[in-house]
Amino acid sequence: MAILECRNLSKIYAAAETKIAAVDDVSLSFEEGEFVAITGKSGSGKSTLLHLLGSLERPTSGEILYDNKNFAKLGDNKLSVLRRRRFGFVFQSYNLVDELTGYENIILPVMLDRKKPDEEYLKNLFEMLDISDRVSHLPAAMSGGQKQRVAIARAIANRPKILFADEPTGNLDSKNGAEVIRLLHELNKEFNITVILVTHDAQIANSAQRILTIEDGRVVE
Amino acid sequence: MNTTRLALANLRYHTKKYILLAVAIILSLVFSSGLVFLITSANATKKDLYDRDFGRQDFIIVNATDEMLREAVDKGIFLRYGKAQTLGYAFDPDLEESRGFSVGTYDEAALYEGYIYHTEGRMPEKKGEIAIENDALLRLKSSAVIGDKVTFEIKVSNGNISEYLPETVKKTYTLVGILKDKRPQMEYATDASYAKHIPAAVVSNEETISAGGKPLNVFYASCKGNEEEKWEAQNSFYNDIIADINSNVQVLNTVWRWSNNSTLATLAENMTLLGMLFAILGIASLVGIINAFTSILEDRKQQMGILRSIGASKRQLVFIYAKETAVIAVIALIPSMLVSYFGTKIIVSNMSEHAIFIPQISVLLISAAVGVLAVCLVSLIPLSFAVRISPMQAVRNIEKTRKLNRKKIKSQKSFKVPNLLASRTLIFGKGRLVLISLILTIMICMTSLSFGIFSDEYINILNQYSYDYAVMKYNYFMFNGINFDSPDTKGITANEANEILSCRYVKSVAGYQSFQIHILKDSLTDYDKIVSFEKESRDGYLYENDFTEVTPENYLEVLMDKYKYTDFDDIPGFLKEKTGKAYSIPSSMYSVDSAVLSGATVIDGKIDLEKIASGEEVVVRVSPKIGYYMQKEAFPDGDFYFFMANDIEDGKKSNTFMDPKMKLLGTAECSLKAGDIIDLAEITIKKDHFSPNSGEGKPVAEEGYDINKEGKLSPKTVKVGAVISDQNLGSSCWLSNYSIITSHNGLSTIFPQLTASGMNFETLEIKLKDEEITPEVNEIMMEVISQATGLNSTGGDFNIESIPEYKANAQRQQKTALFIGSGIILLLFFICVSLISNSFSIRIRHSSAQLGTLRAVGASEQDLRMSFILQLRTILLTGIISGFVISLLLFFGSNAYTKFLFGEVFFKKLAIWQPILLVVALTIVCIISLSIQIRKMAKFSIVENIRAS
Repeated sequence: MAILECRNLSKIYAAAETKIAAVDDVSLSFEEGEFVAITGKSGSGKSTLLHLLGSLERPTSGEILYDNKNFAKLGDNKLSVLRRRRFGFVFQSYNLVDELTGYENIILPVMLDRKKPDEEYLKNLFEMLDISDRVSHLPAAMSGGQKQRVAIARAIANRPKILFADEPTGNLDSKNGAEVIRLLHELNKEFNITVILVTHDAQIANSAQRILTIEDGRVVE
Repeated sequence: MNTTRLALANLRYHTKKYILLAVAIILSLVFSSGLVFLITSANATKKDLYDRDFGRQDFIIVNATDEMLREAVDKGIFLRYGKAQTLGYAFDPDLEESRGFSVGTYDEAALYEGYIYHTEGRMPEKKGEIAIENDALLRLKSSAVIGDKVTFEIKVSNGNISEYLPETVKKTYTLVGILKDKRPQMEYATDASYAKHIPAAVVSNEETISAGGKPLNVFYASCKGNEEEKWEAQNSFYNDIIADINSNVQVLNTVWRWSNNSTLATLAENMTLLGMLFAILGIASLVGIINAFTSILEDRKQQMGILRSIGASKRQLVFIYAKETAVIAVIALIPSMLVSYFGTKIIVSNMSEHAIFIPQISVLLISAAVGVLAVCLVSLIPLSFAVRISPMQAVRNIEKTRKLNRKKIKSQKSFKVPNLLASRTLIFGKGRLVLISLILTIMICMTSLSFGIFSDEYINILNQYSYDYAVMKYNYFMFNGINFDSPDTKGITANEANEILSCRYVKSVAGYQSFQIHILKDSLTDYDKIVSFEKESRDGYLYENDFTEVTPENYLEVLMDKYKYTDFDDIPGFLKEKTGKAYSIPSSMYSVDSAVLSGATVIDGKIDLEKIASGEEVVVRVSPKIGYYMQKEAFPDGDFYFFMANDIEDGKKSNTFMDPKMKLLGTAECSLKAGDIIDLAEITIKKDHFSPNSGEGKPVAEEGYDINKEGKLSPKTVKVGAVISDQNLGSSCWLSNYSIITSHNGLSTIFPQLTASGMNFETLEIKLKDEEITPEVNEIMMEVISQATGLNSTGGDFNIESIPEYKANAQRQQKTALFIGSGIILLLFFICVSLISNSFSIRIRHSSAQLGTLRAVGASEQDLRMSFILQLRTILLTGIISGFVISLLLFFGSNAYTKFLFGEVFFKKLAIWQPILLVVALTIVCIISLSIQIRKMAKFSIVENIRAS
């Protein structure tokens, strides 16, 4: 059964007198535990599609169903709950909160949900991501690879069902980039998390179970 | 680099961001130039109102010649002059002659210089017509109106000061105009004996002086320059023009002016208030410019970094960005000036018919320059900080990274997200928040304490006065133990008091009179010795002693060593020889209304009004216990000692204003009691033997004068009927130890020679009926008092004390002070709101990516809002707590200090609800502003938030 589905999804940006369809009538579905790569050229609309699927942006039209429920029209508060409980996000530029330590950044979604952190789970996670000795530091004291691993830990700290990764290796060297992709695969297997990853790197895309290619806002294969 | 093009491009592409800055610039231009308009208008109005009271001239020269004035103008001493001629002195033979006034003619120049104008009717145009000052008519008890015939007895001038033809003439005129009062002000501000020659009544130039008479010249002259130069001109006139030291030319200097003109006071206060308001709003606008510009410059950091990296110097950056404000200021200048010009003109014109608005081009240009200068100067404040940025700092914000790296932070295992975010943000971004807390602290302190300074205490004191008006007209010249044989003036007669009493508003009129007396003794108690030296006539001699020897053990001996000295003669010796009594204590004796006497606080005996009226008994005021104090003060020429006697009540000095450093030398208790017999002695001396006004205010006896020959002694033995402790009776009759009090009937029995020689009341206390005393009633009362007593109803005459007027003034001043205080507090409030709002606005904009990330990981708008509200709470709490703590410290600290020094607390109360109200208002305004900004931010998608920075 599809964990996430979109139907006739469109996102149109109005610029001056022209309208640009970043995502144009896209219908897709994602199965639980699937590892999907979305790929395409710059400006093809792959990131916009990911943002729409992850509720980071609202679509101009169409439906997005999580567990068969359309969340495209949900209010901001309900979307916030969905994001912190069911979704995890990894961004190209890490997007950690500078004033919080690695550990505090990681447990942010848990704390926002007013839950107690599962220390055992977190400990395993830190070991898996090899950040045990870095989580007590502020992001300013971390390398790019460490920051991205902390960002991954934050993304799955609340045991989400889907992890959205937007060019997660874009700011990393090849060694760290490969390590991040390896970790995403490991998490996908270990926790059965659905991973939807945006990349323009064909090698990374090829490591996914399914590849979706976007051109001019439409899925072409 | 064409910096103007870059400035214009910035303005064009960021119009929205510049709107706030433009509004602040326009407002600051409007208010700063408005302030200049107001100041110039206030000055012009003030000068005009003073001119209306005193005339435009700088000098009034009596008894000079035309040649003198012409020469003075030729030599450049004076700029111009006008000539009036006093024809004579008009009076009513049935009234005191001093109630009269001079009558004269004026040429056009003199009318202009003297600012002589009519408030009713018109100026005289032909022979037989007259226009008179309102006060002059009142003093003559005239109820004449325009068109009436008025007849006066005229002393015809013979051309010299204070000299008239021996025969008076009776003259009848038609009253055609009422003139604005000038004479009362002139009498007060210059020499009254010469000012009386300035005509208070104007007749037509066709009028001729009576046969045999010669007009007395009165010139109105003006010169240029400042006050100092005008004084120089006066000296030059004396030295270069008059030259002859025997000439009786009198120059009355009207350069220095003082006025109790209530129109002027009200207008001055209103203009001050308005000026304060303009200044406050102007400063608030300038703060707005700083804030708006800071915000704009924050957004430009990257642009600045890029410009710096391609070689722009800091100075060039200042030019580029300062041009932005300069361009806005220049564009906004003309509309702002128009708004300011017409706005101020409308306000000023509506304030009063006397208010003058000055529409001069120079003022306009000054206003514009002041406005633009102010705008440019304040814009340099944020700019000077912003351009300090290094290229890398601007591009990568390395400053924040450095800050983060410097701090050691321990991970929280569990936390509330808004709380942790708030606390961390505060830890890493203190600078501006500390500033806000500081301003808030000052605001709280000012609010808590400033309201505590203003209290109704003074007004309450005025409410407790037992009278509404006190009228003083000293009639008996007395000095250090003697009384003169004839009064300087008649004082206030019983008939005049009755005339006031007949006014329908008046409930009661009580009067008192006083004179010098001596209590004769065979021996002196310690108490007597101290009281003797409490009196003005002797304590001065103590200062000549070698005070290093004065100790608690010997001070009474020192006092007795100096006992025989008085200011101008050996009065103790004279009394000893004439009465055979070894000692005398100088004191004052009062006669007061029986009703007032009945209200006294008796500590021994009983006030028997019949026995007092018969002269059998008197009442004596004493303090049961008295202390004698000394204070040593170091001066460059050596130590100086002060001595003071003071009543002691409940073991403490009753005079709380006395310096607490004064050392107590000794105390004494009063042994006088009801039933004791006391011997009194009154000394009368011929006034002709003295020149009362020479010798530094002390009367100087003529050569060969001897008190033993000239002094006339009147002894009297009386019984002390009652001992009282009141320091004053009926509010204005101040008593000291051994003051002897009797009733009016008692005085005429005890010392009939004093009342027989014309000693009338020196003070009247008038109480009005229990109805509201409106300004109109007050004006009528002033006229009634003036008519009855001949005292000036206008001008600087302090002889009529109007409690309703004091109250109105006190209330007005309190209102002004409160307005100014509130204005400053409001200004701080606006600055606080603006700073908080601006700093949060910058913070929200700069944290856009962070806020987007937080939204992405599940934070709701509420969570984000809460994190900012918590920051706000911390800032406000810091400010409020420190504000209240400092207020409390200042309150108790200052009060303890002033209580110790002056026996009075400075802050009457600590205002609580006012600062709380301000804080609540501040919190509400800030929360609303914050919520709007968060809502605005949340309207964008998370991705837009993340990409925004």
